Amino acid sequence: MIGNNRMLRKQSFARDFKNNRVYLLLLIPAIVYVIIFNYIPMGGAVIAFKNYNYSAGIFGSAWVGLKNFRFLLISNKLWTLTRNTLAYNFAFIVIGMFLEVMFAVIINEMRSRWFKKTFQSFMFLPFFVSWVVAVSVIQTLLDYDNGLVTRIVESFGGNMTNIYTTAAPWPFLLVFFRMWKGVGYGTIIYLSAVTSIDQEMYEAADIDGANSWQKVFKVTIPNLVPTMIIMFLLAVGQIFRGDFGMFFQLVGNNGVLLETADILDLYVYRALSSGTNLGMSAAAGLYQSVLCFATIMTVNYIVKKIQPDYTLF
Amino acid sequence: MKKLVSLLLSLVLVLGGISFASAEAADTTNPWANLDLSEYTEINFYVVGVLGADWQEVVDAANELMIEKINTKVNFVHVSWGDFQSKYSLFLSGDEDIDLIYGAAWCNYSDYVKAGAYAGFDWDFVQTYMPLTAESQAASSWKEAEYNGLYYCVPRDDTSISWSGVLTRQSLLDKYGFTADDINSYEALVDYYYAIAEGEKDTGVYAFNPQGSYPFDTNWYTTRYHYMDVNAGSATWMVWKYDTGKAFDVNDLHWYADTDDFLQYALQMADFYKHGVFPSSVISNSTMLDDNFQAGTSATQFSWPFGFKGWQDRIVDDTVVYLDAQWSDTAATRRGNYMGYGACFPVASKKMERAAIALDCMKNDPEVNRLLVSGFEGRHYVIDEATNTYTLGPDAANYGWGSWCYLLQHDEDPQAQLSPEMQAYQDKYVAAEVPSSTFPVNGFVYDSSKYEAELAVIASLLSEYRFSFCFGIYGDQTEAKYHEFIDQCKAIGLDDIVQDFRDQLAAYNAQ
Amino acid sequence: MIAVKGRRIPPNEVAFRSLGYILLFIFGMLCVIPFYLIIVSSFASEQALISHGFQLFPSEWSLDAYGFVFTNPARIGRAYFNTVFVTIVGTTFSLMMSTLTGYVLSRPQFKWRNFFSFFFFFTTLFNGGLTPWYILLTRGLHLKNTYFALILPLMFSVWNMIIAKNYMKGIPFEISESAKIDGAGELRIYARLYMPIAKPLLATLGLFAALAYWNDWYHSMLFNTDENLQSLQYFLQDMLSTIQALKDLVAQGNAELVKGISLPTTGMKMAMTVVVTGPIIFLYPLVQRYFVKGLTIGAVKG
Repeated sequence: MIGNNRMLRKQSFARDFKNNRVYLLLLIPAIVYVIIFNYIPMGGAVIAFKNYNYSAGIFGSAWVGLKNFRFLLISNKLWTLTRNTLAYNFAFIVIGMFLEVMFAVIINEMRSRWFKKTFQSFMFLPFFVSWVVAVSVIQTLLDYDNGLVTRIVESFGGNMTNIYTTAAPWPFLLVFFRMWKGVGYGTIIYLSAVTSIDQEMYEAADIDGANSWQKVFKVTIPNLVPTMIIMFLLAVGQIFRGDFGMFFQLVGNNGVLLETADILDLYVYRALSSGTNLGMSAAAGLYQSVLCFATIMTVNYIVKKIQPDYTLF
Repeated sequence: MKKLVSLLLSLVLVLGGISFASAEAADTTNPWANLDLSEYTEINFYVVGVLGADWQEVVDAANELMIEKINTKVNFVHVSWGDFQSKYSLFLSGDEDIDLIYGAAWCNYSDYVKAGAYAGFDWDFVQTYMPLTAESQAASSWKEAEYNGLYYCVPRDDTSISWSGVLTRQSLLDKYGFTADDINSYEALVDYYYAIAEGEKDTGVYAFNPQGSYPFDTNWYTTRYHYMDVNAGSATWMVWKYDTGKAFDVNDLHWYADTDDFLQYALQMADFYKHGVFPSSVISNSTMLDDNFQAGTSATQFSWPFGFKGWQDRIVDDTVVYLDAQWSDTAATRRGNYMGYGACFPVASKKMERAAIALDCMKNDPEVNRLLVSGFEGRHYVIDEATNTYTLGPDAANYGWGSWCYLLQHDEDPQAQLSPEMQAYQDKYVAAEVPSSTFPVNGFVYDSSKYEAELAVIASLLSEYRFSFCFGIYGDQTEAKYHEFIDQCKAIGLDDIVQDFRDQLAAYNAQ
Repeated sequence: MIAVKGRRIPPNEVAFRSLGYILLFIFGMLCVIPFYLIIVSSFASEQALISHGFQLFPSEWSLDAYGFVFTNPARIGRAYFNTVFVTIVGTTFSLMMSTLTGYVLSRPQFKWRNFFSFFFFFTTLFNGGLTPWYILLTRGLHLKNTYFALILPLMFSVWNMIIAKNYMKGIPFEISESAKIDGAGELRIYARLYMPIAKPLLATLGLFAALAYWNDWYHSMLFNTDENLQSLQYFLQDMLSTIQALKDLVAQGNAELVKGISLPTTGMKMAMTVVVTGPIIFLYPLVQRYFVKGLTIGAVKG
């Protein structure tokens, strides 16, 4: 009996292999690529548990257990930082997705071709502006002494706050700037999905007497849901990795703002940039990776229970 | 006849002897004579700095000489400043073709030594492969490069005294009724700043308008309140007040911000911010102080005497004035350490001996050294032998003196020629030099392995608070924030670390 | 009721349309005004920029910033060439790899599609850090100072692949069934059937890949110290930091380099943005025409 089962399994594996042979063949380039460029260097993550010595290399360096993780733990800030990183990313994902879907729908529905092409291109421009340059622009606009926005506000009799010495507005400012920079780029995916929706569904809705609002909510959005879920899952997979470029340029070393805007990546940079400890920076990266892994496994599992078709894997 | 023959014989002998002797003398002019240089080798030397338009020409000329003398060509690979710092650890871990590279305190030299990134060598190696350096290099410099019995770096042979003054525009001095001689102290400078801040409220001119990444605590804190400092990695930054009349004692060494003077400094900066001495968005400012001073949006700038002429030439619509505001009678100056720049041999290099020979040639062969450091005589510079100074040649813009190979310079090199006024200041600063034994920290490497995690946390706290104190943006909260900062550091274990540092330094000096 | 072209449009339709126009307009203006500031500032003199910051209409005009950027036409020409070459080659291969892999993983009959999806996705979660990767590419693969160093690292994006997979899952399965009956193999179905249908996907991923290559300076910084192999973005940044260093030289008193002439670093940053963005922004309108309603399924039904 047991022997039979093993034989059967072997035979069925051989059969599966034969049936799926073509697929495996077609996957070979990607598999080779990923093994070379991703899986092999991944072994280097052991640096997080070692005291890296340049003469000994990665594999010759001494093991030190969890010592490299200590600087995260003793800071008393680990929870705050993790929470901030998560909260900001979550806001970026959710608000971003809302805006991107909204604009994709609007652009799709819009009649005037020149208007939609022009303004869609406009939306895309901030993507090309590096954060370094963006900081200068922001300063020009929001500077307390004589920024453009300041002058406008004051001409209306209002009082501008000094954004560089007030921490409170920054969560909103950071979300705003991130949306400004990223929404144009993100809309493209939803746009390509929206344009693939079967026109017959709209025609059917028309026959049923639906107006534009209803068509959006009954046809367009439901058809976008698979894409939205995939994009959400992809983003969640990186949810504990902060947007270092943006935070560093906008918040950087401003102690006042760091009260509400400090994230893991900024902390790690401050702690390690003056030193040379490769082990500690690897440890920080590993911490973020493990959290991301746990999160995506959980969320993917939840999605699998609800609608198995929409999962990432 | 016999007399004639013996005279001729002795003449022959003497002449023969002379030619024999000069043949031997010819050998000793080649210091690398007893080394095997038969194989042509190329060395890769990674350098930083500003190259200039004539750089390739100069380097090719130097290489011609080096091929002749030591059968070696040096490939200089230029890396820009920003890249150098971010890629340095990659260079050492990944690249196998680097034979010589900069090592410096600002490049975490001691951390890399401890992590085994550089190849160590002993005095025998120096004498064999770097004979010229063995002779000419200042003895005290080697002490700074030593670690656990071996040398890991060939330090530069050059230290300097640098003290700076404040530059401003004559028109502003006139406008607010000051003269250059009035502003000869920090207090007077403060008055000047306030006058400008008050008067230039809406003109876009600020008393001091730097980029947001420029920390001038070295001016307003350590220099003003007379501290000497040692920085063994940013978090282990220790200061010692030198004008108390007491000799140096390790127990008087304090952590950078853990002094009463630091709080005074922070309060002063907060006051500056409140009065509008800085722009309100200064912490996020990306235009450089230099540009602002040139354009007139910053009324003042710091500069040492050697920079004065450059500024005089740059600012054409006004007169630049040098204010000796940071000086006081009790100020003392100290030579920078030799480990400001040095040359190291990465562990992965397979050509260490030849690299050492090439380094010896570049540092101490008069022709090669002068070429690399200064360029072509007459074109880039003109030396005045009498005063041992140099002035700029017609093509000086295409090759800056010592603009990229700082580690090849020497104390005895000609100095840039200063105007009499500037020379007087520089002489005054040099005259106030105290010997390095006053603050015996040169060459000390602090072993931080026990406290690495704590130091990382303190480093992050330091970055978090430092710039905010520097630009005074905590305002009325400054004192509260200061105590918050120090309390957090102490909670992590700052006192233990400082004590450990003191103990290690005392042990080092006891040797 | 508002009449438009003779048809009556109910009020909530008007509200719907106007809301759309208003939102798009506001956001579009928010995006374009800063960009306008940047363009205009690239033509402003350094003096004006430092004294007055960005102005909607600069007080002083100057071409100095561009002058400096194009000081060495040969070098910048080379940098442009490198970037264009790497972008075209890289995007082509990137598209092929991500769509083919996405296709395979979207086939319901592929028994191990979930396993491989996880296999690929896992690489976005964990990585060994910069040092091991750098060591692999320099000591292991000897990619230093090659075009490969610029092309290979960005060539296969798991993110793009997942988007492709998801898109192709949305293409009705019946299409491939009928092709299979006709005797077509998987590769043929992919190339002849799915790819023509998936034009919006190709446009999207092509754009993303092209942008990633075009904007890349990181790989030039890491691997290509040879000037002739550097990308445009990196070359410009390098130039900026060199000019910055030249200014420091003056402050150190080493050379009386520039009497009364200012080195336009602020203006240069703006000019650099324009120079780099300029060409690629023309790619976007080309791609836009693929985002047209009913392009795909209509073709399928036909």
